[in-house]
Amino acid sequence: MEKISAEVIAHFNLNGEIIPLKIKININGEEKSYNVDKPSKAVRGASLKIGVQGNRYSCYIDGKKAFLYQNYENKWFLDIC
Amino acid sequence: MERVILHSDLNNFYASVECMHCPELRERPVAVGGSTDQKRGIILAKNLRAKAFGVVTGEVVWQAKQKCPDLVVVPPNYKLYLHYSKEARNIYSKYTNLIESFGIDECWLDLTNSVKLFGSGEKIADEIRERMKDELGVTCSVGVSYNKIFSKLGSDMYKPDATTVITEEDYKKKVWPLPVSDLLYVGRSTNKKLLNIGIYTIGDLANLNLAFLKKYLGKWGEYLWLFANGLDDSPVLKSDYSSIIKGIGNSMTTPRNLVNNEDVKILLYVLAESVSERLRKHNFRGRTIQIYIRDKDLYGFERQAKLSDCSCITNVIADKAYEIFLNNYNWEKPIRSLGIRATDLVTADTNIQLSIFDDHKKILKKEQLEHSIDNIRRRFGHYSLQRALLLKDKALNSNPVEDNIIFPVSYFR
Repeated sequence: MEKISAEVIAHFNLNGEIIPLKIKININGEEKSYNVDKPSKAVRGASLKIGVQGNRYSCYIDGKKAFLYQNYENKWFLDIC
Repeated sequence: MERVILHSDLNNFYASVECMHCPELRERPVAVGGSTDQKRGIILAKNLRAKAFGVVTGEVVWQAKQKCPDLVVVPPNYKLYLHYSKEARNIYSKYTNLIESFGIDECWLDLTNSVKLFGSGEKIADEIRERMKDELGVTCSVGVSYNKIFSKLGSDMYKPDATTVITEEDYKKKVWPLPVSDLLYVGRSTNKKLLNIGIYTIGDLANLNLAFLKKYLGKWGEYLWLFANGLDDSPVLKSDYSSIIKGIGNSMTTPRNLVNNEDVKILLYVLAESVSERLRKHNFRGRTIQIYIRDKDLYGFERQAKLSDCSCITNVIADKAYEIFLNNYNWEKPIRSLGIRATDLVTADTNIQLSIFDDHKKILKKEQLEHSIDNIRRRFGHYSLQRALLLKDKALNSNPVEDNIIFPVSYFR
């Protein structure tokens, strides 16, 4: 499974929490944007599958369960279950 | 009351982090190499697959490649490792405020007062290991015991990803059969000395007469005896990774061996420049200068001398270091690496004793000159301003300040 980088539009609430709303990903040269459905609160997490560590949001993308990771350099990655 | 001390050691730290971030590396033997230069760079860490080929930390990259031709050597990424180190500390800090770092990947935790909240030391250790895997994606070995020495021994006993408990009841069974070199602070030469008198295991050491050991090894004899008997009562210090600065030093392994005084002088100036620059940056002056010499067979030693006056001037530090060097090295072998350290630090604005023989205006002028040099270098880069001496050999001239330096810390503070 390749690491999928994601561009993110997010909501920063008054508590300083970040809630991702929309993502744009590039698969095989084709750009697609999706809504982030039911994002959870951030927890610390690591994915050995795609090799990323940081804040993890579980959510639904296009009806499928997925994880969004924000790594230590503030880059975002998508891990589709 | 019996203390509960944990020692947590992240397994193959650098290599694990690299493998974590590159899934495609995970199935291959991987090592983190110190330098891109294949000839001189050394192995800083390796994963289990590389270990199976006999690759050891500290050997030169080409040697490791001979043992394991498929070895993947990746350059180190200290920023990432420091991030992981901080994240690991975050996990520890959920259980206690008494965390003492020992290097970048090891920590002692004092859980004596936390066991009422979170359950036994072993339970917390298992919890920490699980969280480590879940939140960081790396594994750690944890030793649980009633003193720092035994908990460290415990964490070294089973790897990777294991908890080892050593209690006051079973330490004789678990610790004493171990070779004496496993004990903290039994290095190569102490080990040799102990082997000479037939001490092979920690148990042998523990059962030795203390007075004899003190006579034989000096004050270290007593420490080691206490360690071996589980009587070490040093507390877990609250310390962050960036603790109080006690000395500032730089060392460098050179791209080629140093063969004469001229080479050494060049390198000492390179190092002194970086040390003095860092002294000035932190607003310090040093009073004692230490140098560290390692020859081509990796045998190293340290010598030190006091300055007549505390200083943060490159020339003063370099000249002193050169003087110490000339007094202590007889060129039996070429030199592989050199280091300079300034200790006995005082803040730069403390009052100092003036001497009637020195020209203090000149010293002040020199200091101001150095500050100006720092400013120019900050704006235009390190190589915008150079000493003529350093132009003699481009290979030796580099900027150690920009390399990331991770200091080994002492157990005794």
